[in-house]
Amino acid sequence: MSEDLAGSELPEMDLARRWYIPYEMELMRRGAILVILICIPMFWVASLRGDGWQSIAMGLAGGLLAVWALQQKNRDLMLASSALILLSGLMQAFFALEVKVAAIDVWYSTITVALGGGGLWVLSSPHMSRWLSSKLELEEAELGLARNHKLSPRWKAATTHAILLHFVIIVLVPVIWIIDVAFSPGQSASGDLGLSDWTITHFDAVLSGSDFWTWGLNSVIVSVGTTMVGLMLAIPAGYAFSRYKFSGHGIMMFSLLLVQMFPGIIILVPYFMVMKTLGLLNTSLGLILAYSVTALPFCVWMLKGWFDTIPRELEEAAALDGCTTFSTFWRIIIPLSLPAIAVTALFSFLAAWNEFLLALVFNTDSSMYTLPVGLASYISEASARWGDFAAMSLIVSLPVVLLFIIFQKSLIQGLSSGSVKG
Amino acid sequence: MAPAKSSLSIILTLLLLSAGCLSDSLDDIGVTSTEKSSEELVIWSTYETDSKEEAGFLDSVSDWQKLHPEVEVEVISKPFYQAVQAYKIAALGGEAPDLMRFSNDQLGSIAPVRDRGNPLLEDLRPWLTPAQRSVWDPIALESMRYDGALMAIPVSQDCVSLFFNRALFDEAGISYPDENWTTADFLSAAQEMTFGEQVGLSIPTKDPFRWFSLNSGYGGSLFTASGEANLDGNGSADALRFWLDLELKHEIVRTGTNVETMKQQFLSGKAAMIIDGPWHWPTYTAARLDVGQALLPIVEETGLRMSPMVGYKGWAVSKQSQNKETAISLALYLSSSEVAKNAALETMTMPVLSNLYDDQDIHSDIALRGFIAQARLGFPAPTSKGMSAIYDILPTAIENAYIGEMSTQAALTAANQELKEEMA
Amino acid sequence: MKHIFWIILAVFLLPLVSAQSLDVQSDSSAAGFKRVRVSVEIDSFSGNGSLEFHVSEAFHSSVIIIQGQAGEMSQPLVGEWYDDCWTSTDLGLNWTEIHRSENGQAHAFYSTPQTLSIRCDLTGISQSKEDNLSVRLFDESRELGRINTSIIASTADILPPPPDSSPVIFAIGSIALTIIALFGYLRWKDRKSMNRHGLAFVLPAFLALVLLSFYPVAYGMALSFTDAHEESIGDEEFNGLENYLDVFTSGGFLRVLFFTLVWTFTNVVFHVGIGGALAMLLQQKVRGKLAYRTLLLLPWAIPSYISVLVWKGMFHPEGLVNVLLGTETDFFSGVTQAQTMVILVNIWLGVPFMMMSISGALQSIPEDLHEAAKVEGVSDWARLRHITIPLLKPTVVPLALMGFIWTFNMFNVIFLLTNGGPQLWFGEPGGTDILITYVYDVAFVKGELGLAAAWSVVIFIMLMAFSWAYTKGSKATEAVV
Repeated sequence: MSEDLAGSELPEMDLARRWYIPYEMELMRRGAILVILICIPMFWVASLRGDGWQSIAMGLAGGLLAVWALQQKNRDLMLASSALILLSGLMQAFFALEVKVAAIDVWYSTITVALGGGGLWVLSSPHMSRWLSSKLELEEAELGLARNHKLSPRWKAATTHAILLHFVIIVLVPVIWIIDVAFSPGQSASGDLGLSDWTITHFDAVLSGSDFWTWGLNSVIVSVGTTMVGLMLAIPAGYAFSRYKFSGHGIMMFSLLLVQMFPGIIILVPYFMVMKTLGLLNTSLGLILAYSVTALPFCVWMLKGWFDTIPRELEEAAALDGCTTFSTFWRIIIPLSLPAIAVTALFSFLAAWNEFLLALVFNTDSSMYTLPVGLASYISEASARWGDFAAMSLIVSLPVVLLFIIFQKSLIQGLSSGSVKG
Repeated sequence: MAPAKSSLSIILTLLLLSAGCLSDSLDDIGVTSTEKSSEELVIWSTYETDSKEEAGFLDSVSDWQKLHPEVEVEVISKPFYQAVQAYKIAALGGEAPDLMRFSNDQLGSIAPVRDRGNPLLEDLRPWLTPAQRSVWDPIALESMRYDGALMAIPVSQDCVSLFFNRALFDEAGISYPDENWTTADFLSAAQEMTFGEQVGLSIPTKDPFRWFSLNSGYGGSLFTASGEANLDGNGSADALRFWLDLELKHEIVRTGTNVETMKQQFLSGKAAMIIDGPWHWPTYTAARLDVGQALLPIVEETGLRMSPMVGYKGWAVSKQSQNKETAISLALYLSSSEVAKNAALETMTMPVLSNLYDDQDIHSDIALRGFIAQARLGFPAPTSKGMSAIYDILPTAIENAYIGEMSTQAALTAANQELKEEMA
Repeated sequence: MKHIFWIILAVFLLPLVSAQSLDVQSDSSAAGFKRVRVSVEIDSFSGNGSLEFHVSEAFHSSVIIIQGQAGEMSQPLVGEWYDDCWTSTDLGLNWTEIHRSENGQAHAFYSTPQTLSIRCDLTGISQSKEDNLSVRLFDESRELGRINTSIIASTADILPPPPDSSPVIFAIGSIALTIIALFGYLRWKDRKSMNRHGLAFVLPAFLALVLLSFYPVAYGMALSFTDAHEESIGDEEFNGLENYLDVFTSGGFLRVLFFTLVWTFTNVVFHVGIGGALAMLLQQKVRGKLAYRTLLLLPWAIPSYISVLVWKGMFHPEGLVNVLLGTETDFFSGVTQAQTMVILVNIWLGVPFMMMSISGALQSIPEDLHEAAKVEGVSDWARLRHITIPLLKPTVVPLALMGFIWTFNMFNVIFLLTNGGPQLWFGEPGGTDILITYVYDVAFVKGELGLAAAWSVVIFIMLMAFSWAYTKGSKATEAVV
């Protein structure tokens, strides 16, 4: 088309077409990509159903055609692609209504109908048709540019929101489901979400039964023990690595790093045998010892990093005042480091609280289960108590989630500084 | 005569005297163990939590405790499936419970374990008098033996049979299953009652335990008479084919059905028939389902009746226990006539005491009578190392046949090969 | 008078006179634990009858005495039920095993009236207190005589010895002493400088490290050369490289290794990719950024075992996912499908952490760089490629390595979701087994601890090799950049 008009049309319109692209084009491009993207999971769903791939194929064809058409700036093709997309959405809706309306059909149809219809609507606007047929006035183009600038951030934000919203939905669906199961009667894992028959029987059963309290106590003892042992060992060690370059300093730091890299797997079997021989299986002490050692390198790193930031002048001043090394450490350094210690303690505590594998192997007596193993034992092939499981999960997760959210920044900093420097 | 008489009195006197001396010297050595001051017994209960069986069991234990107030009994609940593994680990760590309830096919995996040469379970043969042994069904007693040793005191038996929802049968206008039913009747009834949300039959397709009954109906057996592996024997492949086709070809059974979902479907009235055992019966009756029980049908092709595997459960005493005498006393109480009869009537636990088989009260309960009749037509579960290996090996074969990777014959042959290697 | 006396005496004595003579002897220790061996001598018995044992007023067992041939009745081996019985016809010089009918009832056969001896091991006899034993002889119609005596079993019970912990304690003790001595030496070396104080601070931590980390690792390596088995602990025997041979020639070795690598790489790529994309999105000026960030943190905040089990419930054929998708699939049947689902769940779990870490790193990139680039007219994509990504590299590269190691050993997801997945191979890893879940299987389900130790060592070496290569490689690319 442009070749035909080359000599005959006003050169300004051509120019206009070259330096001004209506934002709608960008939107349509994004829409086309979105359609192509959502066709991928829909194809998977269609393969699971064994049926209904025709409408998805139409949608995919429409999306691909749209991308190509947009590149060619060909109005007819663009119209055709929008129509295809719209049709595919409608077809999918009919297909679903015939068999069973599932949430994913609603999602797909809404997006495709909206995008297809939107594309058709946009293409029918006089501004667009003029631009596409290179009949645009210069002033209009300039107005259009201004409009672009105004629209662009808004649509960018909208896109961001749309993407983030999808991820949030994917994150929230399990949470919503588990809340529903916790409050619904019965112990089945059915997918029927219903508010009508909510009851607190499961919470009642969990809190009045002995399982939760026994396992909770075990978890508390083990986690607190781990934290305390870890801190008692790591605080002096971190301080020493920070302040003193004694013989063997490098090797010991390296061995700490090495230990952090030991996967649990290499120590699992020998730990089991040593614990068994020492009679530490099914005890809290055994788990505390096992966890402390996995927490130790991380704690030392974090605390060393912190101690590194305390100026040495402090200790020199204290030495001048006549304090011994140890009392400086005890009376000055530690109180100053309480925030870092607190974060380290929190991280150790949470790591021990959530640990599953070692607890599963070492404490097989159900009265010595920690919460993770106990909760997991509710779900087995033969008898899965989903209701009780859900209630207990909520009770266990809530404090942990709150802690994570409140302390997210510190935890991230700690993690990244602890390991990146290695 | 006269010399005999006097020698008799002399011998008597001597015996009396020596008995006194003997006990004195025994006390000196301290052979006589258990202090009677305050004993502690630890029992692992593998009953389903909050089930009627568990309630009855706890009641019996506290009744026994009233008779023996100097003993402290601690009952720890363990899930049935993890119990064996947990027991092994505890025993090897010196922390085994005094008493634990095992099913006889589990015994096959615990009994061979040696902790530095010592077995984990106490051989109960020297503990029981022949009179005590005679009260039990000899088959039950035999099932508790491994390699000759008596590993547990038998307390109950169970096997699966056919449960059906009378209401759904009435709705569909099909007559209830009876002892003349063949698998053809079974299949057509199931197909007729499968529509919409409802299924005519719900079985855990990948679980071998219930398949055993079909296997014997087709003439197959898990082991030959001499105890060799026989998974791919006569008829087994056909039995597996029929079993899998219930889900794959006839689409009667829902995808992914396991024991839990089977139970849920039946409880919510969505399944017309299931194959299940008396351990779940109280749950179904408590949910006010109009549930009936029937014998498993006769296989059309062979004319043989489906014969389920009868599992026996018994109380085993740990070899390390410090309180064996008390533990055995409790075990004998739990398997005694009174307790067993109560358990039978309350929780449908089939007894293994010979005298209870013909008990009036037990016979008057239709369901119990039905269960016992089905058990009489079953085959006892072998108590061998091979039996516990089967539970590990068969699911793989079933999975392969299920997804069509192998034919049922090929899958079973491969499984049999594996089983032979395990048993060697 | 005298006659009457003798008649009365005779009347009283007659039963005794005509009583069958019965002679009972018991041996408390010959028979074994909980058993007493009782020998009964019966004088001049004729016809058929039975011998009954009653212990503590309760019937114990009986032997049926029959004059005649044994016929087809079997003589079971001694020790069948430990209630063995023997008969002797020569006053106990030679004993032969008793015959038993099909239901186990003991039968003693004899041919001519003579002294018949029956010896039985009585089971179930108390070890702690005396029981009274009543031996009663019957003929076909009435009791011929009885003898009461006391018995008690005296062979002691053998309790298994408690586990022997001395070798381990010895090892731990000697290691601890060595470390303390080493520290003493280092302190002496540093005696002239202030640095020696540091050693005392480090000693506890290092000691714990060596005892609780290095020692088990060394022990594990030693274990891998033995045939340690859960069922025979204490009897390990050195068997050289056999375990390692088993590892490398086992049927599923390549398969499980392959899937572990696929699992790890796919996860890390998506974690970093999606996490990075989300981090960058969250950099934009959007309203409710904090809310989004908090919500997107949830998969990391919720304990992983809970999330995994929740997904397991949701993936059930009748669960929420199927309801939302309008299908009825069993997502975990079929190897490839199960593998895909397992990877998807782990991606869900791992993205938030990467997102937050990369977000932190993004925030440390100075705004001015971006501003300057925008002013220059550099496009968004170019900005991403030439500014953001290179500046992220120092954070992302070690992060990816950490992610690699964590994912490689991510036990919870596979174990709780599929426990190794479709098990299509006999005695081999399952469809969704990764190395660590398979090692768990070998060690704690099959009980082969030596073999599992060998697997662990192999995995450890692979990981070390990879980390070393990766670090070398990333340093090389850093130099280039």
